[in-house]
Amino acid sequence: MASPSETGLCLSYLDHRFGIPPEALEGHYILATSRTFYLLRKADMPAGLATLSIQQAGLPLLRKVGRFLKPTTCAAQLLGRYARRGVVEIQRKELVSLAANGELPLSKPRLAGLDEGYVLLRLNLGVIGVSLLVVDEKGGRLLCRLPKAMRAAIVRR
Amino acid sequence: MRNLPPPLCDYTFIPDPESYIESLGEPFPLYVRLNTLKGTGKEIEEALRENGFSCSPVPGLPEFRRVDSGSGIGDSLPFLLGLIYAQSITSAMPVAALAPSQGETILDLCAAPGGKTTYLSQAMKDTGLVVANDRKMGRLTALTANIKRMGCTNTVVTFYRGEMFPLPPDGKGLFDAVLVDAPCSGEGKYKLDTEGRLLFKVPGKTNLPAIQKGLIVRGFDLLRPGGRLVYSTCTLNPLENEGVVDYLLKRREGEVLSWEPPLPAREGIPAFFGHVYDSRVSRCRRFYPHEVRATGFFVALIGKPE
Ligand SMILES: C[S@@+](CC[C@H](N)C(=O)[O-])C[C@H]1O[C@@H](n2cnc3c(N)ncnc32)[C@H](O)[C@@H]1O
Repeated sequence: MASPSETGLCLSYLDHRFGIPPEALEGHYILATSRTFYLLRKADMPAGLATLSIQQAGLPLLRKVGRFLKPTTCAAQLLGRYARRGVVEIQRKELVSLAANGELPLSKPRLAGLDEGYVLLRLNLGVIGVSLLVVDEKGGRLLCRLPKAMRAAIVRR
Repeated sequence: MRNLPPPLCDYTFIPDPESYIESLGEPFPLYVRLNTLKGTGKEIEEALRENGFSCSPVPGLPEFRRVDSGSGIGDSLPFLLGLIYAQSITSAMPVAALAPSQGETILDLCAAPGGKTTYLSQAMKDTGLVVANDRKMGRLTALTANIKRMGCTNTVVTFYRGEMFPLPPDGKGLFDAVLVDAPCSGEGKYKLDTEGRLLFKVPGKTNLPAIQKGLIVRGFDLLRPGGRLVYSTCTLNPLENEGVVDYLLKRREGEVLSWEPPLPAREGIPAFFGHVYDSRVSRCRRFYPHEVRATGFFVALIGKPE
């Protein structure tokens, strides 16, 4: 189980960066390993289960990347509908270009309201995953952080 | 009348063998399960349509759609977003028989790649707990990928030989329900190649019935009193089906429960190759590929007395 301060860190990160309210994670535990936080549904478990050796519990929620936290693709997809900021709306064509080239330029007007760092990528069907936004004098660039297999599938399609 | 090709020639129990043989040369329709953990059925259908797939409903299986046209579903956005799982309709039958409820604790003893695990989670509305176990590390990758893609937060993954899955120290059983979707010879998936020869797995050295018997007994022992177990395979071979259920009934106080599936099914067969089975195996259900136009399946629902 994550410590109360780690849980607080995860909840406030999701809230501040993406506007995902803590209530969206209600009914779940947050678990911690050295590199990853996991989201696991709370349930009444028989005591005998406590001794099982577990490979993965619930879904990976956030990865620790250096000093930063990065939402996982599956958490972005699951919680993305609650996000009120830190979201980039993209078209299907742009997604293909991002997957193929590894990055996608963003014009200055599209940067309004966005901070550098991890952002969620939203298509009309919902949030598909995460990108890293970098901003310089010319404008912004999204760096693809979608899983390899997903990138390949998007390009093939 | 044509004869059943080897190794199926002893399967005189197959109803209407002529149309069974015919079906071996035909592709089955593609089906998908709509993942209602991630959207409403309507929204997901709309997403499929928008991505070039036209679908039709499947009677008795409200979460399933038959894909009538469209290609490359495994690379499509609805797939990548975890809105669908491509799955045979017969593979839904073990979950339908288990009838999971919200809040239950369920073990899927042979879970990879997760078609039934994620369906269990969906049926439980992502509540309670699903323990998804498999003994092959290589297959756990696909299992965890599917759990993530489908957004199941109520699932934990374990890596035990099913026969050795730890029993609780008090011996009382842990789970409300256990699914044993056992490794099998896969005869329900057989097809003919372009030259009309049967494509089948040459039997290896593995003694499948012995493994299956170990799995069903351990699955049963892990149930709490009053719990239920589903034993399923995608094979036609009675030695891997009724023979395994019969083995359990001889060793434990289980009861084969009646169950009305939403697809056409036949009763379990009473005897095979000199083995006469416990008469209760007639309550097992057999799904023949030519009668359902999908992978053949065997499903037994077994209750543990209170
Ligand atoms: C028919 S497949 C399961 C399909 C899965 N239930 C699904 O719906 O996606 C059988 C699985 O049993 C696993 N298996 C084989 N021997 C096993 C054992 N002794 N204990 C646990 N799992 C085993 C295999 O690795 C394989 O993934």
